[in-house]
Amino acid sequence: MNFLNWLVLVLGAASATNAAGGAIRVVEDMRGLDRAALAADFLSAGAGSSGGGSGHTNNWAVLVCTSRFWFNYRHIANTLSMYRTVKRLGIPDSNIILMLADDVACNPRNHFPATVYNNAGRYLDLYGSNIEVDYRGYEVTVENFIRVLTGRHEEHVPRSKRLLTDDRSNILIFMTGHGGKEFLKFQDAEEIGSHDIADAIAQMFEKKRYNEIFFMIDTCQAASLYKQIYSPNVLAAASSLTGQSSYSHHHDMEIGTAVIDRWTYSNLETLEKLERQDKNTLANLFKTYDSSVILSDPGIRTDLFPRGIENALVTDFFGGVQTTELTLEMYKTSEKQKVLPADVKVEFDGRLSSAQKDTLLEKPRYKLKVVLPQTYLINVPFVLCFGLLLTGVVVAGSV
Amino acid sequence: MRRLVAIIIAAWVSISASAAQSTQHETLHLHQRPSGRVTAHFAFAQSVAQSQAHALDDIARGFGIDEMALSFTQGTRCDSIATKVGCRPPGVVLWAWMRNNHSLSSVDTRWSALTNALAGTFCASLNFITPENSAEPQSSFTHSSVNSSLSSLRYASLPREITCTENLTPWSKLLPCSTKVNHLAHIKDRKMKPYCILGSKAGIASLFNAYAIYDADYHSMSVEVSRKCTSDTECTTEIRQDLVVALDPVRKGYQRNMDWSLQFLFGKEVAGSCPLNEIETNILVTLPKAEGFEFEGKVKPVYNDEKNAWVYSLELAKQFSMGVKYSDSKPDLSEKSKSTELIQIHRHLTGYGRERGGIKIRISNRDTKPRTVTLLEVLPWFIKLYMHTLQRTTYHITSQEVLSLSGEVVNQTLKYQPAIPRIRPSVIELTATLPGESITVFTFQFDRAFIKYTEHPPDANRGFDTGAAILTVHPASRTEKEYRLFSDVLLIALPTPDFSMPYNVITMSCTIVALYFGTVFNLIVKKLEGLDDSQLKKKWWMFWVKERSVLGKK
Repeated sequence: MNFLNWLVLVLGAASATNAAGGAIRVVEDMRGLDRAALAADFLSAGAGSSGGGSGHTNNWAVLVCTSRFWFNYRHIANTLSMYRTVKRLGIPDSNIILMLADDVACNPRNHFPATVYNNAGRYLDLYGSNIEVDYRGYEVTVENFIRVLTGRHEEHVPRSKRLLTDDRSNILIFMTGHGGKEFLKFQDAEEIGSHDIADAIAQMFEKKRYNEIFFMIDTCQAASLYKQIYSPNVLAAASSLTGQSSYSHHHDMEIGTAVIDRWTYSNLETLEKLERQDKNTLANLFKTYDSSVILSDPGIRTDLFPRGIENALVTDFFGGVQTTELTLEMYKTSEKQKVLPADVKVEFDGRLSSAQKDTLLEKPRYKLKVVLPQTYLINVPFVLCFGLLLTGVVVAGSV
Repeated sequence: MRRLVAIIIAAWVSISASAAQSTQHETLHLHQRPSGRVTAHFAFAQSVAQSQAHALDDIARGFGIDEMALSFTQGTRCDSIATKVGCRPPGVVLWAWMRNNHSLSSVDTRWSALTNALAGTFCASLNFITPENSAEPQSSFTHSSVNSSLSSLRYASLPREITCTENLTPWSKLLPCSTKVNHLAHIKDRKMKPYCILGSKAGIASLFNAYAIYDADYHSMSVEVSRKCTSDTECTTEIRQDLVVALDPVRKGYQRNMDWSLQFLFGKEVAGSCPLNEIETNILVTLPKAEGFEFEGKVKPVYNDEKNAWVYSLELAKQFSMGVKYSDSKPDLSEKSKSTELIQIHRHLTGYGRERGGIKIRISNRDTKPRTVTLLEVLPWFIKLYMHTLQRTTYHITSQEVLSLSGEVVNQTLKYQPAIPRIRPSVIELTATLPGESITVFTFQFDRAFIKYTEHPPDANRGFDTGAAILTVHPASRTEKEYRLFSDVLLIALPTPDFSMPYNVITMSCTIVALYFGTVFNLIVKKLEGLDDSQLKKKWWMFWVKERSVLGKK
């Protein structure tokens, strides 16, 4: 059974990489375009809809804490802070997929049962009394995370555990945990790679599962995690650049661990001041990042986001859409998927033109340097000794 | 005039009939023991008729369920006298009787669909219940209202499952007079505008406060659903929800005394009775002393001999609070160790090391009469049982003499289902008669399986929890009811590999292979050739070397 599931996943990933060829081209093409002109185009195109031309009709959030164990309290606090923020700004519980890899609220080590605080002053309990955790404990796995994004679930999985988005959904993806260059650890047992994330988002694009994605990640070398994403309309922000560590903000002596990370804290400082009808843009949010306070340089990737961060409201991703659109004709789901400029053609069927094939197949040809064999002879005594040693060990072991 | 009276009577009859159609009760029983501990038992009952809608009714109808019980429990310090629903083992316990013939699918498919549906409803990892850890007991959960030839039973437990606010939230939303929670709360700074207040509608559910409940010594939250059909179309679903919380005012207060109040225990007051008129709200209080105390609060309770408790009836839209003050409030702490239960079960691990082990189950019967019990033990497949090692010893409770069994006491039946790795657990179901005033000990041995590297959980070194053994005590007489006892949960350590070892081995062997292969390959493939003499001009600084050809050419 498990094997079959994996097979399905692998096949899915394979189909995604097929399409990747086309998508990569799009990205490169768009880099060449005048972004401001593009943004202006979109604004005029989406003039009828509100919210700065995002064109979305519903908001979703996928909030993931990937760390198990008590001393990772701050990661759960990070995720819950975001949960609180999006809920306060209007995304309902039914549109939030909350994944917490461990239970710290009712952990016997927690001196304050059923609470999670993100501040040593303990002003605000993030756990509150109305919380719905969709995936918890051992359920938080790479497999389940990719299943949530791509919508490939087993038969009986309830609606509350599914990301039921369409091509008019704006999705906020927030991840936090321990990571390294192009990977993020799940539960201290497995990892997700930056290519996995990129391919999952590509599948979402193919399946028309989103309008726009804001991908946020708070971990060490966080910027390396969004590096491989190649699908359009994805905006990404990270706590630190490749090669940098991200740090925790402060410590609570009674809880006994750090309670929040610096970058999330910095985001919350701004987000806490916002209200549902706020018109601040993401550019304003990014301007508040101060590297001397965060102790790392936050990474922002906008090349896949032609609308521009100056035109995207914070509430496009953190808030719930309240407006309704009345149409005289029947609603077509694919019509409003504006995404690409008219002059860019995408071939998502996986087939490539011959010209494309050539460019893809062309590999850099290094001039091989021929080294005289004599220098290798230096190794011979070493290898012989090592071989003797190995044989000796094997013989000794077998005797 | 007569017509008017007839109309009034007809109207009254119809009103009372509609009230009877969906009867709902909610009762809070606060039971204090001499040790000072207060066990609060919130009991809610509602019946959902065919025409009404309820999430659990939907589940029961959709999956063809006759009876179902689900409990979430944490803590072991349960007071069996104070709770009417019994003490439950830590984690989740779920059992369900499901109809054999159902239009949709087989019982097994519906069982996994049911666990997934409940996982979604209660925000818990109930989807970890699979055939791998589910059992089909034969004589442990028999129910008078369920015809066992038409329905099948499935039972499973998840001893590791935690219970927290995210489970209480959906659970309390299923109540008829549910708690309404405005938003996140607990504001410490009084100067801040309290835009988030823990609010609630009415009834005893307004006392729910996650901070108090999850600070308790023991808390158990359960749902029981039973569906009865009078005809093919007319069915009603009875839903019972219980929440048992063992709170300790002696531990909580600085004074270390037995005095308590609702405000002190829960940090809240009851916001009047539920406005739904068919709901009856009562609060019962049982105290360890007959006198030497007084009740605080505006309303004074009435003593009810039948219920052996002081009874309050709640009024609509009136804040209600109460408390108890003793003249001598020193707790009797020696009382904690005493247990008055007639039949007790205790289970523990024997042996040492991570290869072999054993389990010892000790059942004591303090009753003078012999009692018939059924022991159900469901063990995961990675515990490899040796059934030939199963032994029974019975001895007298005080003299410790081994009793020789005779007569009807000897009768015992054993049903055993061996485990199939990764497919089903091993199930032992043993029906035996315990002689009066005796202790019966069952022992058996097992081997711990060496499971696959990927089958270990992320925190593998913690060990694996195995669900509680269940002891069903069959009624001795017709007036008694069958009841169940749960043993302790065991934490079994399996042989755990060093998880970094495969990586060490892979890197080491790869390095060796690369070094060896690379060099040998080069030696085999590359051709040795002499250098051109012309390149070998004598350098000026090699004046002290005699000029000669390098590789003998020339």
